[in-house]
Amino acid sequence: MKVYLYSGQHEAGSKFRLLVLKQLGPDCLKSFANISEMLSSLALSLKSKDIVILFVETLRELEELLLVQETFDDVRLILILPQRDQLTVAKGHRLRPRYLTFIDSNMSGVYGVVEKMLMMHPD
Amino acid sequence: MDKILIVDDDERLCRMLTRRMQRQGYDTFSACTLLEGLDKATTDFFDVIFLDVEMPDGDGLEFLAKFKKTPSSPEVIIITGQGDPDGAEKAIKNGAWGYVEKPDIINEIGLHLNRALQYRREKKRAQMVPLQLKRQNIIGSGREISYCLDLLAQASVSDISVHISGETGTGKEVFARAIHVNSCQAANNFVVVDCASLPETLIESTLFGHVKGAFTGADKAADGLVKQADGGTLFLDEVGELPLNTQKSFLRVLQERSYRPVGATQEIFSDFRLVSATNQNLEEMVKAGTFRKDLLFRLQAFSIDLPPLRERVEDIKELVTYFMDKFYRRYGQTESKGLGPNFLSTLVAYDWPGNIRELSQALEQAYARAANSPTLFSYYLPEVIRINQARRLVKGKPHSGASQDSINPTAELPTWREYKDECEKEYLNKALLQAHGNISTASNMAALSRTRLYQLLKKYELLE
Ligand SMILES: Nc1ncnc2c1ncn2[C@@H]1O[C@H](COP(=O)(O)OP(=O)(O)OP(=O)(O)O)[C@@H](O)[C@H]1O
Ligand SMILES: [Mg+2]
Repeated sequence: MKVYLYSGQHEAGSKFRLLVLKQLGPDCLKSFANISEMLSSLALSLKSKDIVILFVETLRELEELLLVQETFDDVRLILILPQRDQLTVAKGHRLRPRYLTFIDSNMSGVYGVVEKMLMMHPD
Repeated sequence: MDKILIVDDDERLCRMLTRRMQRQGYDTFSACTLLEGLDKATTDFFDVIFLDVEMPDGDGLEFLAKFKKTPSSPEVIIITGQGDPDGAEKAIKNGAWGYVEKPDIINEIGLHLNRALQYRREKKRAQMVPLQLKRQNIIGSGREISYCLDLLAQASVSDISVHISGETGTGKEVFARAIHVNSCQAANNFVVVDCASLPETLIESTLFGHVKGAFTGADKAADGLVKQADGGTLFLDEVGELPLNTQKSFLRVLQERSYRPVGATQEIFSDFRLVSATNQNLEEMVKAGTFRKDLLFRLQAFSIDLPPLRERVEDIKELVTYFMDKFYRRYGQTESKGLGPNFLSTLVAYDWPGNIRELSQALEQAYARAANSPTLFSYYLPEVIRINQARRLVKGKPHSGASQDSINPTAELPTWREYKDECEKEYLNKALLQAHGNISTASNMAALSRTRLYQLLKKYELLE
């Protein structure tokens, strides 16, 4: 089972990517800093129940991801949003994440969820 | 005000229940014989009637149909003796809304009454609102899926809690979303709670939120999913995975619509529509003590059991067209591919344990392997499907259920659907016969859930 991570091009995202990498190891993780690069890579390789983590630092990135919502239809999505206001949260839920949190939160929740997801479908 | 009638010869019980119901604001009456009850039901307008089975002037079940035909077409809840599954079964078969065992009635009457009244309100509303269903890419037009779509339409017009069961990949999440999109909650959030992915330590704070400093790592206060679902739909997926103590907290939320975030002193209010799903057998879990019976009651106010793909093979062709169209766009090709000679029959003969998800994956694999070839041959399908087909051809007989003797080689071939319906009906008849008409036994023998078996029996009009 592969984990795909989009972490953008900002500092917080890069830090987060290193932490996830440390937790999962390089074999299990494939990460992207650019949405279109991620899309062209995922289009043909993404499988049902794969885990996709989106670390979204700006509202513009969120809008862009909403346009390609279909890509994440049958995967297990973990979404990390830039803001906590109702509108942003509502947009986030349109991607139907299986876990939703915010960039200013403690990320231990994300790690716990990824671990449990990997345990549920280890292959 | 809702009007209730209790028909029971135990005067003390009648008095107690009447008083209790009146205190809760229901206009409640009682009768000590069937004839007295029927007389009251004919001249007054009751919403719900509780009917005892053992009455001095006859068997309550024999009178059930008469009560149902009284002017208000009331919902009838049968009061059965303790541990009498046959009585319960007979009650349901005869059109009772539900049944309650005598020793439990004092504690459970409120719950049964609420559900029956809620159902009655929804039913009235559903009759008034014809719905143009947005299908949300739910493909298929066979009888099985059409029946489920009817249920979906009924559920959507109300805000009743819906439980969706079915094997993996049958479309539970797709249905949950479609309920939301077709409901009056559609403008608000559809919030997924993945009970299987949340570690136990995280589940309460994720659901209910927390105040700052509630636990180590809670640097900020946070809303929970229940709050984010306010005005919308909360989708409890894999609900069987909910730990027992969270089941208790969640039951409270359902009862009171308010809850307390972790570490908070104040209650918070949230009004959401609940949809739940699982491929686990929750009734078995209740028996094993790992799922709360009272929570199950609440979740299942309305249930939809999605059929496995092998029971709706008539939809395979439509699904194939739909997925091929999707892949051809995804793979950026200029022309869609044609299907090789045995392609569809190979798909139809397979069992599809992973259901529609597996079908979509198998087709995508075939599509990718066919690369530039304009035709999809069975050869491109995953090995397990081809092996199944090969074995079947070698044996020279249909792979599953299909009965041999019902096709005469010289007679005109029936359509696939006619043949399949015939076999299914024959199977159900056999199962009922071997189970001596007992639904529980039959459902165990057939490895079907009771709900599913009831649905099938209803479909073939095998319930007297
Ligand atoms: N009737 C249908 N028409 C078209 N696609 C469908 C249909 N039902 C399900 N699918 C597709 O099949 C896949 C699985 O559906 P879904 O996730 O709803 O299944 P599920 O019952 O929730 O499975 P699980 O129990 O494994 O979570 C999804 O990609 C979904 O889009
Ligand atoms: Mg699902």
